[in-house]
Amino acid sequence: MNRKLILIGLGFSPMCLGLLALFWGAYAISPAAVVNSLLSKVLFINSPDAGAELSILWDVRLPRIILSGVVGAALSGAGVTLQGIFRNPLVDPFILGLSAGAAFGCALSVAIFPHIPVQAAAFLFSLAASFGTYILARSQGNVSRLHLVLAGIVVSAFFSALVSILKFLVDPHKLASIVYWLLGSFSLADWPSVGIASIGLAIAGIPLLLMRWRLNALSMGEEEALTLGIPVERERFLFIGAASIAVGSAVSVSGIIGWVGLMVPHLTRMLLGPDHRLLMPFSLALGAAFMIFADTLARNITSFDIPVGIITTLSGTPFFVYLMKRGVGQSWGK
Amino acid sequence: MIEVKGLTFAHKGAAEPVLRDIGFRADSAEVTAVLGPNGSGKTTLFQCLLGVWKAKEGEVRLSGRPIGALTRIEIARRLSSVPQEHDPPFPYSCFDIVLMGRTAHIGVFSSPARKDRALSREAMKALGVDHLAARPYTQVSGGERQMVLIARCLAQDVPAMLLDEPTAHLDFRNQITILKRVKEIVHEKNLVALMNLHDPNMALLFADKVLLLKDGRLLAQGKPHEVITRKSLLEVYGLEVEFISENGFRMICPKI
Repeated sequence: MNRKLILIGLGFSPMCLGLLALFWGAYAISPAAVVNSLLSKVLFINSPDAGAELSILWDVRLPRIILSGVVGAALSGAGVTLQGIFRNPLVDPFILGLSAGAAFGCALSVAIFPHIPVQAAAFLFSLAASFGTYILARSQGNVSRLHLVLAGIVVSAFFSALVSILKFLVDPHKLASIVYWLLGSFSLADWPSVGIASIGLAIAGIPLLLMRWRLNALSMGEEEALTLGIPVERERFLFIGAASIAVGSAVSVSGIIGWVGLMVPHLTRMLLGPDHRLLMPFSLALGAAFMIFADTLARNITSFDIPVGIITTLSGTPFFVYLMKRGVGQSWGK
Repeated sequence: MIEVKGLTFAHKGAAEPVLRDIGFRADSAEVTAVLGPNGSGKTTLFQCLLGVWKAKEGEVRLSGRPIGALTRIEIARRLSSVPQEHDPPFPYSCFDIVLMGRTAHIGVFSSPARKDRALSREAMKALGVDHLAARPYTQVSGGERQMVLIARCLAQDVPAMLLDEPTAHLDFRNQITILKRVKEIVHEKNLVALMNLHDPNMALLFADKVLLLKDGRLLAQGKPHEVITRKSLLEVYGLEVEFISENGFRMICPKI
């Protein structure tokens, strides 16, 4: 009974945090006014005094909150998937070179092809990096975990080097915007980017949720999964593909936000155990909740917008250390 | 029934085959033990039977069908396996481990249903490990792990199972308990069981049939007492032994 209450609480945590986050921002709006303007918008009532407040709530805060939730869910869902596939709780969603690929896409768009949107370039190159990693691993014969990790390192290094070249060549103004993008932020959130990230999360999240139980067997190792009746190579490709789409679309709208995809799955595993049937949906929920929380801090603790990637790392590390001290053994297998 | 004919296997790029011209049959309601020194090809043989590696020549048939014509799922519906060493990266509960045995019976986009959970619970009961259901697999003893894995084979609900050194790392009592229970279940449920053993005494006590393997060749096969002799043990292990008979038991004692 107690456990059920905890599960319900965790499941609704993104909605609750999202609602709270609506009331807090640089432009002070009283709670009554928030409720009033949102109700009028939802119910199509043209209230005379809504104007600026409504536009702040509807065009600035709400898309930003939803976007941070969607990106958080995508990153931690991909984290759970790849940790299961690679049988290692220390794997993060960027292991296949997605972040380096996205960074190169962004730098390329900013530095050389300004007419190509940053989001499109970042998305394309993050998927290209992940695909390149897979092809490279495949060229070694069987696609084994070790080959994938090594290929990921190679591809990451390659794209990072390209990013460095571009950073070195561009003028300082463009350099600043590349650096800012690399730190990860939701300051440019609008409804179209909410749409892109949500579609990406849906395309990836639905198969991940449907197939999540099979991650248990896959995480037992290649040979064992085979003898249990899983065509390992095919299903691993599906899982990696879905995770890449989730991460690629998230990164394209927010830049590179670290730690969430590593920490949230880990944290959920500590709370609920390793069974992917619970782990996957609740990692999605907690990833969303954590990112909403982090981004609300990012836009409120100083007078300017701190890149949220800094907040996720700063707030993540001490908590992680605390959990490690409390007994990480349970979730590490030993 | 597992049928093997003229099985030859070599690793990719290696000139020397690991297995040469292996041929035998493992029938239902029989425990078939494979004996042989380290590196004789026992585990490789199992991997060929499971279709993890493909034979270079010869044929493996599971319940009458050649393994080359079977998909992964079809193989897993004919043959289950207890792997050798086992340390999963995540502390799944023992029940979750047993439930994995149902993978071959559950659609790609579905999760286990009530029936799958019931079969898994039943399998754990049959091996006397139902009290471990909620315990993390990583925290139970070696003997209990082995029992949980055999329960998983039962939950897989297939006519044949492979056990790769089921008694390795187990204490004296657990070795006996496991082998005794496997033999009972095999007879009770009419299953094919093929297992690797290191101790020929255990084969004398529990096997219905023995295969002797050396350097990838099958030296002898048949009833334990006919196959396990002073001469054959000298040939396979290079060890002088003495047989001791008492109260109808025949045991092997190495000369030291």
